[in-house]
Amino acid sequence: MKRIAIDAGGTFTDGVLWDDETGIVRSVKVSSDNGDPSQAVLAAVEKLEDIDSVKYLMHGTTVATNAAIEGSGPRVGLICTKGFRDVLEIARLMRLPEQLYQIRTPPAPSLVRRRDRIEIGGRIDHRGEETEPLDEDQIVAAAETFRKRGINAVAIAFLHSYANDSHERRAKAILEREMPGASISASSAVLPEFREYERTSTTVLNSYLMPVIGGYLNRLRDKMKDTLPEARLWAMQSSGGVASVEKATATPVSLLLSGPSGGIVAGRHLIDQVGLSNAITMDMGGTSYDVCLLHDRTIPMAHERQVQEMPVKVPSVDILTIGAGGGSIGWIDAAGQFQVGPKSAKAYPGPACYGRGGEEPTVTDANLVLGVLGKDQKLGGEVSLDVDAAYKACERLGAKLGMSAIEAAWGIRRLINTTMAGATRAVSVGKGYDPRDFALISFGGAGPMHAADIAQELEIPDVLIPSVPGCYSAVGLAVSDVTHDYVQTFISILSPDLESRLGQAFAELTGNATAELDAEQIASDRRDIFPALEVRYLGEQFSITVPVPSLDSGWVDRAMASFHQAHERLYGFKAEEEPIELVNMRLSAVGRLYRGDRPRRPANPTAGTAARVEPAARRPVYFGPSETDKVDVPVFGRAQIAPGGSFSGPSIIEQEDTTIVIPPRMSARSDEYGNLWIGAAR
Amino acid sequence: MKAPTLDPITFAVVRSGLISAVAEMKAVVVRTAYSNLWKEAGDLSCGLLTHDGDLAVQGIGDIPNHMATMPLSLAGCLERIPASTLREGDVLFQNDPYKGNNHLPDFIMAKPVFFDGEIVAYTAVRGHFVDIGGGGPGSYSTAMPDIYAEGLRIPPVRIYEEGVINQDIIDVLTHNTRNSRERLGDLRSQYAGCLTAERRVLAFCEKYGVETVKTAMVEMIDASERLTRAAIREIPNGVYTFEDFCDNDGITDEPIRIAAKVTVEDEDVTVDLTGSSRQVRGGMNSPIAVVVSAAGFALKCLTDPENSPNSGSYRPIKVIAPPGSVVNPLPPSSVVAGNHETAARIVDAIFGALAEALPDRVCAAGAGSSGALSIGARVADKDGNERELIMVEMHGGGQGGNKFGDGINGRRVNVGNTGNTPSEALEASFPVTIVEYGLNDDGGGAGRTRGGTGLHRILRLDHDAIVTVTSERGKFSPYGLFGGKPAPMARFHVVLPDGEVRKLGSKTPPVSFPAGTLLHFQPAGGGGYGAPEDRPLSAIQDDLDDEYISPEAARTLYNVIVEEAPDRVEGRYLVKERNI
Repeated sequence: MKRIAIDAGGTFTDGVLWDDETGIVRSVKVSSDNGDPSQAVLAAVEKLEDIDSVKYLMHGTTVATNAAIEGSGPRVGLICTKGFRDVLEIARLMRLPEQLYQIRTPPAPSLVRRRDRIEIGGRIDHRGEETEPLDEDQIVAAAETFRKRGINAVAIAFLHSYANDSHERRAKAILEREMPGASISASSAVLPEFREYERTSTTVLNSYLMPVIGGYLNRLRDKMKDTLPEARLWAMQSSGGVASVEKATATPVSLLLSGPSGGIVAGRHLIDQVGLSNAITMDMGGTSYDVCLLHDRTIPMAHERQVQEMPVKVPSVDILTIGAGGGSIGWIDAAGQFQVGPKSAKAYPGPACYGRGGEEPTVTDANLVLGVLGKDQKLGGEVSLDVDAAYKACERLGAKLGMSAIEAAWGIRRLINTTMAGATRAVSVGKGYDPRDFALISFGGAGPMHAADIAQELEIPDVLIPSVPGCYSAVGLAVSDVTHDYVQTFISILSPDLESRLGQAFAELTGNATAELDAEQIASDRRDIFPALEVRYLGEQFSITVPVPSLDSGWVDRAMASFHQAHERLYGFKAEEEPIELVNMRLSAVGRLYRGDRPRRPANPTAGTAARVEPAARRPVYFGPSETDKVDVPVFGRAQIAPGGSFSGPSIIEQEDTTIVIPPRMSARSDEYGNLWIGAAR
Repeated sequence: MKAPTLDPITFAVVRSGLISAVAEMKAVVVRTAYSNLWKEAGDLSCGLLTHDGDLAVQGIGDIPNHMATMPLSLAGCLERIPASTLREGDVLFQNDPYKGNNHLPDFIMAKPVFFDGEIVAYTAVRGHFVDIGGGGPGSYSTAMPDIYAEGLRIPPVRIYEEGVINQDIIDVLTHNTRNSRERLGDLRSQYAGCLTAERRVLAFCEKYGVETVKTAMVEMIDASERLTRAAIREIPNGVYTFEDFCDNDGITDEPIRIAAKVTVEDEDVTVDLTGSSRQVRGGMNSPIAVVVSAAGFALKCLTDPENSPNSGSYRPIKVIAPPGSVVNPLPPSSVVAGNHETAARIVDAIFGALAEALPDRVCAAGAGSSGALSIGARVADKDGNERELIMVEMHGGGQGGNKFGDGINGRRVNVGNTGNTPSEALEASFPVTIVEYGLNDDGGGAGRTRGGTGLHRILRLDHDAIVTVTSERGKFSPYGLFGGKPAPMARFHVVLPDGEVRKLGSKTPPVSFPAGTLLHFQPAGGGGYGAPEDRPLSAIQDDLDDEYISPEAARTLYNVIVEEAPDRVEGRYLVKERNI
């Protein structure tokens, strides 16, 4: 069976045609259409050919992210508990860490204006008991106000609704009656967790995105009827699983951070394929570096992120993103300190070598000056690279530091590598993992130029470059599963006495999951249910998610033991005499859409060693700041490297959208799937 | 002797590593702490200090008044326990305001980092202990006549000796503080933070060499000094003066004068507080460490607010504070609220003084208080065991207007930056019901740009409880600038179950109220900037529609004609025109 995966980013829309048996059949890249992203999706689909029998179209979209960042969504109304309309504006009261001394800098404005936050009488307490009945007349009046103001998206967030959702459900019914066709979401459905600010913020964003995502996905589904009459549309979520159009339209906030998720899912697919359990993925593009650690094949989850200063509490792949990319600028601060990034030349004007007016040297310019990047490589579309402009930009920076252009370029490369290594260290060493136990999977346009250096810095033994590093997020979409995440706040001291009550509660969550997977027509033998507990030492605020692999007798004891262990790994100590508090029950339901694959080509260890393949070209590359560090290296085309082939560094491998660096004293080999392994020379 | 200079690249590499080490340190403390004040509201700070005890890196976003004092607190430790006597695994600990500390609730823990038997740095965490004994739950009363009454004072000690915890000191701590289990949870998190940063520093020493790491720290400090000096050069030379007042000290009702004379000379600044009141009996005295910190904060805001500060940022600033005054008290004066209430007034006075020289950079006065509310209730659990539950919440918020825009509504300003605890968490943890938590009606001073609106909380006590109010601006409004109006003053009162309304002062000593009492807690907001007559009508209309101001305020303060317009979609009132 075949499926199509389309990842629509800001610059390019990548498509992959995937065969369940043999893996990748074809990949394409088209320019994105930021006016109507669905046009580029269809263009990519059509370019893939042989698509008649396709049953699934898996789609990653940044429509939600862009709407939130650009503020292009609709005016939103909020109804909230009497006395609490300013929750959204007061936030957590503190000023932003990076603005501690900037007394005149205002925070981002609230997504809902104060006049559109309407208070409603009625109270539920923290035990879930009603202490004051809901004032339904006020809700009717609020609907009237919203209608007059042309507001068609409304969020409902009452205090303690995580403990009892009856007021919110009633309010939603009234609003639906009074405002037919409006986009309405209730906080108890979007995020049944305590902390009113974070819950309100997430719910408001959800209502804000509902018309945007609903409109987009439905439009796309209509348009693809002709080309893909039998295909069902699925949308990538921040959690790394896909959801149906219906589900994505009801909770679009779960799509908000989905951009980098595809690459991580592809990374897990890759380690399954090659038989590893641990990997760190790095994705370096023009402006950002995304790094993520997969331990024991598990995709790590975060439950709170920030978008435009607003907390978003939905499960998302725990990716650390920093401002480091090909466009990061080398500069000197007012105290004379050499810095690289987080300032970026962005897509326009771009690096100096794009010749579009960029004056300051970027990482891309440095790579070009050092010979790491070939001057004929195509970047950022059809731009041809101007080596002179890059050299002059590095020269200008170097002059201020008393350095040559080469030294300045080398400095930029070294500093950006340090910054990225620092982020890589934070997700590994910083969380109690030894990077030497991991492989580094590198993709994205700029990643493979830096991967080997970062691996050396952290003593990571192997770097893995997949066969299509430039379309890797789309590969992740192709191999992703349907996932649904459920949470239920359940605050109590955790003890084995609770085992049957918790078992009962998990059974209820499982019932919800089953209904949702039924609706999506997932066969019963392709479903997995993953219960977990969020627990902490009584008194701590931040909890650790402990998986519950089985609900067989004694499971609570086992979960408590794994909590102590995890606490020690993360924070350096455990306190076994302290009581453990349960905060939330979580359940993740997976419908496995994908059936695994086989090697694309048979292994042939004798084919294509470097000795027999003639390099396509040679060029001088600097592996250090001085002339003695300049080495004349062979340059190969990726297509020249046959499975099983191996060769030694220093060398450069080029393919359509990326350049791979194999430094001196390292070597590379290609495996039977076409992945390239780089490690210390043997 | 000048330290050898590192090549710019190695320096940048080590610098970014040390900054991320401190970020990691903070993450570990927040995630493992027990008190709401630490884990939800973040009342703690992390730092990395040189082997000489200068602050090289402070956590991004850490509490400003925790930080500039860190070198002084460490110096206080080393004065009693000389560095030469420290051994690997020792950890220093103290809370003595007369040894460089802020006030008794703030404890500094500092761990010397040894590499090859030599101290290369100190990692340090300062955090606010929710209770430190003394005269009321939360240890926050200003009505204490001396430091002995304010709570437990632990002089510099080794809380760990060669890696082994000093149980005697822990026992002293647990015998003298309320709800000590929570204190120990927080203390453990401080230790975990110190260890985290230590591991990272050691890894850098291993990789780049001890001298490189030590030199990098020194160069980071020098770089901050250069940035600050360059920015001071932009301030016109001159002598600038201003004075402002605190309400009282909690024991008498006498106002407390803060007089600031700021002298700018090329790239140096002297803040002379001579002329400020004599030291007072209640806990409004500001220890010298706090005063230095406050002056450092004020100048940082006005010179180089973008870059994270360290000891170098404070070097160009000289502080003169006469011993025996409220800004440099002698032991055993009490000091609990000097840390952020008097300190905030020092900052307000410095901003006020420099307004003339830096009209583009200053704000009118902000809330000028942390608005600390402490509530203690002795609650029985289901087995009948009584336990003291202590809630300490900060409320101060609202910034003054500035030349370019309105002041921020309901956000912390000045030397503190402790956040709030969610109302849902407060209700689940303490016997209170939050009836209302929001911005004040007409809560900011009028002006061409409006002062930020302050915020209030109304809570109902669901159990008999002891309440302490530690706030300010109940008698002296946050000032406006250049024709802007001052903000309305802070107001506090209770409504007792029988309906009796009782006004509370901004310093209310621990007082018991019965279950069913409604407590209205409303600190001030920020002052306005520029004449209200110059505020654009469209901004006044928006403020009316969003109910930041009332129609009465629009009429009287902004002098505009406002009509009731029941059919308007965006609000009930229409701004017509300005009265002439």
